Amino acid sequence: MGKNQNSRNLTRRTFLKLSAITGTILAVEPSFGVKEWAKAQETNDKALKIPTLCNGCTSRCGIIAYVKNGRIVNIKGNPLHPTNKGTLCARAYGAAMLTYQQDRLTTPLKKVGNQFEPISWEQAYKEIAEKLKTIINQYGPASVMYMHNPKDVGKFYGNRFMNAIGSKSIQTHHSVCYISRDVGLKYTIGATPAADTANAKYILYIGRSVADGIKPSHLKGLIKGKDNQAKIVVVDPRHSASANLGEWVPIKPGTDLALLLAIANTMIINGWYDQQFIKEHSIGFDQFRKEVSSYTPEWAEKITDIPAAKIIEIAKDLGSARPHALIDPSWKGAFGCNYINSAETARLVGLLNAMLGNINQKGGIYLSVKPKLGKLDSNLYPEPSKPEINHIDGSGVIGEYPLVPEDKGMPHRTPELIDQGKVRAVIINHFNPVRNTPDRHYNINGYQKAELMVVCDIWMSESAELADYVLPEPTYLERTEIVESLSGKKAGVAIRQKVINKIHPNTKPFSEIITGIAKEMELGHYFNFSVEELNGALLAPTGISYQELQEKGVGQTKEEVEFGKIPKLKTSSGKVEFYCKAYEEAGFAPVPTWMPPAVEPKTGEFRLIWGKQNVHSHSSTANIPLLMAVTKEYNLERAWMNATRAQQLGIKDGDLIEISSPLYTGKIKVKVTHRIYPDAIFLPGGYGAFAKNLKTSFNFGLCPNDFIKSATDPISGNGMMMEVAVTVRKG
Amino acid sequence: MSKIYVKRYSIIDRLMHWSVALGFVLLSITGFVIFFQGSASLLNSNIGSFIRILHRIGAVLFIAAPILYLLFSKKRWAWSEAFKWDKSDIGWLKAAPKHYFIGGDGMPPQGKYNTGQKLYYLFALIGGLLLAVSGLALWFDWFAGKTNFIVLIIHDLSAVILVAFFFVHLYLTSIHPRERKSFEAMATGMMEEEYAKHHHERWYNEVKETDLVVIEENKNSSKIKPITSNNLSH
Amino acid sequence: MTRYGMLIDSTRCVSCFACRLSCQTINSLEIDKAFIHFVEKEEGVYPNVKVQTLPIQCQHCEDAPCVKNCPTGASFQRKDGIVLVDEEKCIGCKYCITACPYDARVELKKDKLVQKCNFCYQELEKGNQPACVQTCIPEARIFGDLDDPNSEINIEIKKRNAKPILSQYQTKPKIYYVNEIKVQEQTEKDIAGLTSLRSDLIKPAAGMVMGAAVAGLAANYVVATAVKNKEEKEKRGEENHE
Repeated sequence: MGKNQNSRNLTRRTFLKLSAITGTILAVEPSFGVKEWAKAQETNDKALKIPTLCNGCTSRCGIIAYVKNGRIVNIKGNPLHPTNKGTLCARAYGAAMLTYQQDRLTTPLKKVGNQFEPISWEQAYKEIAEKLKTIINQYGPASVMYMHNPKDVGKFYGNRFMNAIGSKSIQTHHSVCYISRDVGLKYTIGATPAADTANAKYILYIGRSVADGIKPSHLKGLIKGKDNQAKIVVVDPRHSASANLGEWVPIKPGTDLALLLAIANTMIINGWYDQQFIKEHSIGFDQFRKEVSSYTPEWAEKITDIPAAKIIEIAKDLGSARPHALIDPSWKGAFGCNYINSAETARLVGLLNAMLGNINQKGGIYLSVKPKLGKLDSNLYPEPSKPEINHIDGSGVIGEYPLVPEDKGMPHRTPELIDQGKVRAVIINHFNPVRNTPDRHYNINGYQKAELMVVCDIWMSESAELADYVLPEPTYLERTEIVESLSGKKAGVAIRQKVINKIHPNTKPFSEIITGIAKEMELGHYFNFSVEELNGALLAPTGISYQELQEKGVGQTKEEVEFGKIPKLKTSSGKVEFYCKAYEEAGFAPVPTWMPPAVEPKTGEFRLIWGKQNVHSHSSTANIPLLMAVTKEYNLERAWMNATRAQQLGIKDGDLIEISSPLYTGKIKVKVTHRIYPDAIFLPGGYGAFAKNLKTSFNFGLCPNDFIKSATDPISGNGMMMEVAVTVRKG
Repeated sequence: MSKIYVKRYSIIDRLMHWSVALGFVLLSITGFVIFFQGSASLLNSNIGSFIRILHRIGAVLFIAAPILYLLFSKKRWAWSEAFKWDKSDIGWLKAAPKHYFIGGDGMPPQGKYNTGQKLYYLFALIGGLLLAVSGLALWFDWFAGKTNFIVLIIHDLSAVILVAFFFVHLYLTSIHPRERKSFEAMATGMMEEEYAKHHHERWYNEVKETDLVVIEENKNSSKIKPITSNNLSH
Repeated sequence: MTRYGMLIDSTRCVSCFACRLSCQTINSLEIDKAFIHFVEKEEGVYPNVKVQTLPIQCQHCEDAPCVKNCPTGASFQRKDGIVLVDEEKCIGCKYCITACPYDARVELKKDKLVQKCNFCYQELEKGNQPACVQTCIPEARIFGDLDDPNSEINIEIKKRNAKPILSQYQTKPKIYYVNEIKVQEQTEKDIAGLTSLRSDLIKPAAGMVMGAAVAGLAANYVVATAVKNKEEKEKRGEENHE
């Protein structure tokens, strides 16, 4: 075709539009007429294709960035990356726009009075270092808290820095995410496993929606399972985007534990479990059998609202499909951070999978392998040792929160620790606890009292607004990070690398920021290496060259899961623990037992449940215009309400409703649907920004955190973010 | 030399007429360039967009002038004439074909507007209204889908009918060998007394006491003198 | 011959919007303009409820009403069946938007023209699949040659009993859907008949009416002038005679 047909991305008009950065998505070149079109096509093909890792969520899929004249012109999935295999979800495309976001921070800021003033990096490093030194001298190193969403750079540099100053006060976002899952599974089967859904014959999801909280490999796994005729059952108070792919079994929120206890009981009574596996690879099964014997399907029906016959059916189907049957280890979902009984639910998930004898079996669960990475030579690069002190928030401390992993901590507790004077300085990286942990005012009041608050971010988040120093980072497309490990059936390594130069030259990646502060604190000798040197050392044992990794973005190492062979578990006994000594010592029931949710909505009230939407990663993407455009076009910010309940309250689809908890009252439009349990109200998780410089997301929608009182599950340390009852009326 | 004229159209009447006329010509040319596949296929996006802008300019002239006229002219209800029909109109219609081809008499005496003019006026009113409303609906996306398509067809049809009648109008007023005087009337506002008497007898009889003027034509200028009883007796 | 088409399996679609975003990105669209939109339909009463989402984009109809309605020929169909918009010829009249039963066309206000899904024909030339197919995680989309009986798409259309939606409008769409829930028949959109009426009847008739008017008037002019001249001649003759 000689015609210049449809050359959308080639006309002058398009180019002019694009020069206004945020007007359109990505940049293209001007071109006129037929010849130029052909030429442009040619150069389009010549665009640099650089592999890196996505930042749309924390799954870090492989992307290939198409770069022309220093601008991103397109992105595609990296077919070599095992997580996404060439595909990408919506967020990836939205995130690719981050670099050109209008709200980005461009220079270090210091709060003077109520205003932020630009300062130099040198001044920022110096002042922060000085304040840190004063605080450490006066209150001890534990009063310095480091908070982050743990990714390899933040873990390596942040933790090394904390070790260097002698503080163990490190918190990850897990207590407001999936900490309960990890704790429950750790104390039953030793670790959080992965699910081989692709080869399963029966897949049971409890509150997990792989189509809403998308990790491509999880969704692909479910689809592969479906293609292989697996029976798929989705237990969820809400008919999620995944529910359509299988059978939806609605459940009263917070009662998953009762369902699983009854399934266990039914399987035991009927012998629908792997008795040989249990005999050889577990401890405490008899106590467990005794404990669950009273949890009949009829008992569970009253609690869960799932018919006893359906419970028996699930137990039977699981049993007959074993070992190619599994209960998905989930994510945040039902047994993540949400309920007081979530850790116990997670224990049951571990134990039921064990009863199916499916550990490291095809179509079962498996314990992922990790690559063996190298280390910096400590003779050349001195390494600080880990401090031998207790975690300031009580994580892993006997008498406080003994089962909470001390490398994760409980960030939702930090405001009260500041209030108590235990924490004086907070350094936050890649995390926004002020918005993303419960109770806005508790958070604001707490963090305001911090003597020093440093936030590294790309824009002025709610947390950054409260900070004394805001340090701007380049976006993920503008920085090279450290080699990271890929775990799974096969292990591998991947790298996020710079694909374009910094748009805002006065931004610095976290690795440089930490190094800069450390140097001012006379700790520079712990950071006497470049990212490249570090990457070389990390890669050394893998046999993959740094150059090769940079070219492909991902590389496979030799570790591989041996299916069919049961590994030694990482529990204290090395076996599946139906009876857990650690629980007993911590003062909890050693054998899982029924535990009702902490909050029970009264008649007429609703439980506020919430979750992810597949176009957003909570609040971290709500400020991306491209993704918010989807929200607005399809009214995704609406609260979900059961159609029958809505009718009783005289509420129609699209009406404004008022949701109230003792803490907060907010108005939002309602989606009236049959896709939700009658006594639950669903809110999407990522809206309701209150940082005024997040111009796209500011003041749009509601954030569930505003309704929730900060509390802590004593077993796993979760933030009990679903333990809230609300009233609803027409607004 | 001097001639007697009848005052027929005020300056406001004529401004209204000519801006509607200009708008209509602009609209029909730009409209039909896009309407007919043959001419449209010669367009590119720049010329086409320009034509669409011209079409909108035409639309503003076409719509705004009558609205202003309706608001500000004392003769705002003149259009209601078009709805006043009587027996003489039927006689006119019967006699018209012969008259317009061959000429001669036999036409019943007419008012300010003859039956043909009223007929045209009627079409211009109804068709113009349809055209304007459907055009605005298309311009401002009032409808979508099937409704919009029906609106488009209404726009097409009213345009085609109006243009056909416009040809007749144009022809009779400015080309037809016997009727060109009415073009002059719309151009100058004056109609020759002779022509008025002949073509609009009833109207002439109504206004002859008040609206006659004498125009003295010199080489370079013409003087308008109101007619009084003095100079009437020529 | 190659004749491109697509299968969209809505029983696999999880309405994640990835296709929309990938399409917006590869086509450099404005943030609130998209070539793919979604129709969601919920059916049933709690707890027996189903929901289905249909991603809808240009169906590259064989008898495309947009092509028929485009005055300038900017909308055209390639030999391989892909319907495209020639931006050099599009004058932004939006007749095609009105004509499309699938709401698949988008007015790009800033560009003052209309665009739509182009099956990523530029990607096809490089041997790639359209962006929406490449990005789709649950593999809900299959793209291929409908004229090749052995193509994956043809095999899957048969196997999954995929059918075009709104086929009652006789536009012969080339996207085949697998869906368990019937799409509401949007009678509002039934304008195929009107489309034909306009292009096959109204337009030629309009030409004829206007031509006839001109011809009639010309005839009148000839006759009336002749009569007048004759009369004047006679008059002059009479005068001379006197």
